[in-house]
Amino acid sequence: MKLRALRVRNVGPFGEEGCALDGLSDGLNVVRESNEAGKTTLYRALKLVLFDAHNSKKQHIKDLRCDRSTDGLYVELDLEIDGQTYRLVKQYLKGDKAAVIDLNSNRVIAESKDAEAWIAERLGSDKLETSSPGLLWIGQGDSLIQPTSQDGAGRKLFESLEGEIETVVGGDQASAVLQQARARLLEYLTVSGNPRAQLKDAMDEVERLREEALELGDQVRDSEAARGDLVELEKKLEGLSEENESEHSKALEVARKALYDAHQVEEKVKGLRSGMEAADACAAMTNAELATFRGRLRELMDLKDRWAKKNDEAATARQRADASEEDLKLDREQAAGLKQSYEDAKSAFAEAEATSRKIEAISKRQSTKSALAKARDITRNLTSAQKDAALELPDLEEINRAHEDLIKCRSAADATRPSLRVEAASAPVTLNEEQIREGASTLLSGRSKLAYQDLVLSIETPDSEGTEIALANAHERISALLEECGVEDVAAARELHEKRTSAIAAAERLQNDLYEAAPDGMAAMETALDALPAQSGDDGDNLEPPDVTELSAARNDAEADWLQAKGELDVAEQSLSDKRAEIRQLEDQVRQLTEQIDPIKQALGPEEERVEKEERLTRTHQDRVGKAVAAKDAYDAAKEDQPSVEQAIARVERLEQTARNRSQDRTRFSEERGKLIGQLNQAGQNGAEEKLADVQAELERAGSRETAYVREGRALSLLVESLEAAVSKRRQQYFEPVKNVVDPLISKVLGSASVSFDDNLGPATIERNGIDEKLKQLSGGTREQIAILTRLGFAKVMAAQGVHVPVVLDDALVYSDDERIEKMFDVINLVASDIQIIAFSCRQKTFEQLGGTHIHKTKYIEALEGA
Amino acid sequence: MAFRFIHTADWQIGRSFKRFEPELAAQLAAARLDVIEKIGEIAKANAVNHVLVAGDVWDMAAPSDRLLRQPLDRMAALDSLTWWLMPGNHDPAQKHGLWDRLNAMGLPANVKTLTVQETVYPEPGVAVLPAPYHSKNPGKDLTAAYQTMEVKDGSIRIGLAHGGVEGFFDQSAQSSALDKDRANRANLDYLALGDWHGAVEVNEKTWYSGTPEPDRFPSNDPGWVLIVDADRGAVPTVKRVRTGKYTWTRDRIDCVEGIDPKTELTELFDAHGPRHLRLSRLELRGELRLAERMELLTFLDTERVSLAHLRERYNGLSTVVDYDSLDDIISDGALRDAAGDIVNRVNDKALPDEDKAIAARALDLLATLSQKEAAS
Repeated sequence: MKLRALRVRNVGPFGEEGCALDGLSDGLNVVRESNEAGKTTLYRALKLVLFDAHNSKKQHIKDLRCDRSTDGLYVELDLEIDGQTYRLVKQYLKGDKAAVIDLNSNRVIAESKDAEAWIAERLGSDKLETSSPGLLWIGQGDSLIQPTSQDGAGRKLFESLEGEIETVVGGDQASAVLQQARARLLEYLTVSGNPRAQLKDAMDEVERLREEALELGDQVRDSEAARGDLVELEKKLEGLSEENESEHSKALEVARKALYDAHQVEEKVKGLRSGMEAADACAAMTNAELATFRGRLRELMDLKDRWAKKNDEAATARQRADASEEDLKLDREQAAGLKQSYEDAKSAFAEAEATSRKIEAISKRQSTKSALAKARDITRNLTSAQKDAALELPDLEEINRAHEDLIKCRSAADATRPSLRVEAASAPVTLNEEQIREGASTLLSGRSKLAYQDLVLSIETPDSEGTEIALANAHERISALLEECGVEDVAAARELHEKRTSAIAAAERLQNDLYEAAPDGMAAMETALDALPAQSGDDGDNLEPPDVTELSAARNDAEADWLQAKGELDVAEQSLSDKRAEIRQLEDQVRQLTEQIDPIKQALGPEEERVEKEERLTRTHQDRVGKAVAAKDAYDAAKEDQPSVEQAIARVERLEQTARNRSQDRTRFSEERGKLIGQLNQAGQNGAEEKLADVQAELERAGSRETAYVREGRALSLLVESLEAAVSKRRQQYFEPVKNVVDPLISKVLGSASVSFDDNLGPATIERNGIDEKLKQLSGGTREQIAILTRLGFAKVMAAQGVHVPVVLDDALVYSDDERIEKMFDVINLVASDIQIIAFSCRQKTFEQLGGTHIHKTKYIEALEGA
Repeated sequence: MAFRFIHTADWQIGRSFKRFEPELAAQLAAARLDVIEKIGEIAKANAVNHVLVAGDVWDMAAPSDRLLRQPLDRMAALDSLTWWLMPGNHDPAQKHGLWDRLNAMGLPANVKTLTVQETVYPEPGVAVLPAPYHSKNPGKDLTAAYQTMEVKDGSIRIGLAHGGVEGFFDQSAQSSALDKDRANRANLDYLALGDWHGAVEVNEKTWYSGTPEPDRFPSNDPGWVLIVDADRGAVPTVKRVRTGKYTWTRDRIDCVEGIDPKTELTELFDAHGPRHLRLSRLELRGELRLAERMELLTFLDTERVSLAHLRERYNGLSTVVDYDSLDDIISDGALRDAAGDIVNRVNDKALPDEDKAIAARALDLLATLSQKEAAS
């Protein structure tokens, strides 16, 4: 279908004179008018005539009527369909009518409802109401609305793609079934596949019943265990019956009797043992007596032998000692003589030594006095030299420098001083009252007074170069230095320096000499002198030095002899002393042996009675031994047959304890029995086993239900999965041709991109550079461009199928930037080669670049006349 | 003169049916007690004065006091009868067990317990030789003692025992193998057995009475008591009398493609008495096309409410699915694609059976939802 002309009257700003858009071409038609020129009115009029029935009284129709007119809205639309041209005429609100006129034959081919049905059919729907133009038309302010298939145009597109209404209907059915399947699945599983609702309840129920079964199972087991315990307990109580009790009592009585008997036997055995021990003791005693007697005899013999031996030894020792005594007398006399000789030699030597010391002291005093006098001389000289050396003088270098400066300054001053020469003078010429000889010259400086006869000249010689001042300063400086030295000239100053230097050297030398003469100082030397004994005239002259060496040697020899003799004497003395000691020791031993022998003799008695005594003791011992053996035999025999008292005690205690335990057990078992019976009664009332059977049966049922739900969930999951896959596959099939057309168009504007559609054929996402972006996340401009390009694509697809649907744009591209608008214009022009596009815009300058056929408004009347 | 008595066993009072819906569970539990009155009626109608219960009176070794009391009260009310109760493997006579508790409670005068293996004489000239259980698994043939038990000369000798007869059927872990010739070896005139829940003759002198009220989906014939006329030296007369209120059946339908199974199912459900007293475990086997299968599922959902309980198993029922048959149900492109994918799984021999079953269920769901959507 293509639009060829639109004419209106009494619509919007167009009153009776109306408005017409004629000459709409096959491709791109552009209506550029300023605001308020009525573009949108014309757009709405176009929509009105196609999609609103002539007898409709809707508000938007009333709003569209021209304010200045009370007549009906009049709209004409010239169409070309399959090469035939028709005119659709409608009037609304007043005198409403509709007609379709075949412009070739100029015949009215449909009127009123027929006309509405005629146009609806051409728009792709059996009802006008469902053929809204949303798919391919963009109204002002709607540029962002994406096309969908929820209308007749969408159906038309589907028809174009599939060619069968049933398929379209089936697509809806598949979605509906899928929706139902999902809803059912949600009754079992969450979106993420976890159990919920019925299934979860069933699983929870199974879990709960399992726990309950476990609990009841425990109760049943406990009850059974209690029954078992009760049976065991009763067996134990049976064992504690009266019959058993009397047996135990008898056993205890027997045990006690046995214990008593054991005690009796024990006493008897103790008695035998005592007797045995006593007999043993007697035998032992006699044995000891006999042994003692014999021992003493042996001991006596032994002691006698030893006494004799010691006695002989003592006699021999006395003889030896007496002999030694005689020899010792001679040695003593000899030693005394040597000692006297030594004493004499020692006295002579001591005397000689004293004389020698005296002589030495005198010599020493004399030398000390000489040394002291020498030291005093040196001291005096040193003091004088030190005084010269201490003279304070200015530094010689400084004097020399000052002198040199003076010379320099003088030379400099002389160089600058004028020279006065008396060439000839008849009278004396004086300068500063000193006569200048004829032919002599002198230098002038400062103020000079030159006199010649009565001429007196005062000559002021300026010191222009400061040399006089420098010279004066140098004079002053050197004068100060010399004054400090106390001399008048430099040579004298130098001489003073030399003198001081010499004095310093001399002082140093004298200091060394003094140290050598009196190392410890003068005072120490005087003190040493005072300490020496005073010298008298005799002592020093009459003394002759003795030969101390010879006297010392004589003394030493005498001493050596005496010491040797003394040593030998000591040895001899010691030997004699040892012998005497030995004699005393031997005598002591003899005495001790005597002391030991006497008591033994006394104990043994007279010698002649000793043999008999021994024999008597032997007989007594043998008798007692026999008795001891007999007592032991009796004891052993008794012991062998003795019952164990400990064992008997242990048995009695054990049986007594057993009796106590049995009593306690009876009490305890009875209590426990009562408890267990109570427990079983309670279990009987509770009926745990019954409940367990019920729970197990319920568990079986719940388990079956759970299994059934799980299987149902799996089946529904499989169904949903299969349906989703099938729907997606179909969608891909449907949309492939659309994508093949739309994607290139979009890519021309947005760069390499691909759009994906939802079930309603609405663009859902766009993929660019491998990234999927949802449409709603894109900018307004991009969405606007996609909206338009998608419509253009749809129109192209339908055009390819031979279904031509015009695309109408009313002030679209409001959000697009200049660059994108350029590209959009290119695409619109490209698409316009296949489909009719009518674009309204108030942006005259921008849309001037759009190209296409510029459609101008004319008045309705003019248009009719032109037609 | 013959001695007439009712031989019954395996009352299993206290068995839980909570694997069923609560209302049915309560009804089934009540039926186990109600059958006592039914036995009483039969006894009265047949001039029977003694009822011998061959073990497993109770289903558990430690029932609650209430559960112990309930059958006693009913038996007490039927005081023209003497009830002889013998312990079985489910309710052995353990020390301080339920039988001691019964005695402590106080037994009605017409209720006798046979907890000791010694001959009793219900009537002069009639000796009953019990073989009571004292543990869950005695590990020996308790009837062996019959041959040494004292019996008054000339007495009709009736053995009362519990357990599996060797070689007769599979031995359970809790049974004691009984000599199948015990009746002859012990010179019995009748051996009344319990443990097997179906009424069945072992030999001319040996019978299992089975449980008087079925309690499971059997592989035998429960729901009877036996009226026995026993005489010394004679072959006993045994008559089966129906006591079971509910009918439990294991049913099976073999489906064949192209043949509607609904008729056969209807006949099946209508057999064996009133539907509201019918419990059926239905195994479906064979092959059906998808549409037929869906019809069958719908049919069973309808029939279910008329039965006391219906539990189906579809493991053996294959769904024949091909793409042509899919068109009958699912024509839409995407739905068709999804159905095709699922059908592939159903027909995939490499998949485990469980996965194929899941796929079959998914296909059922798809067909159901599609049809609902198409209808809306």
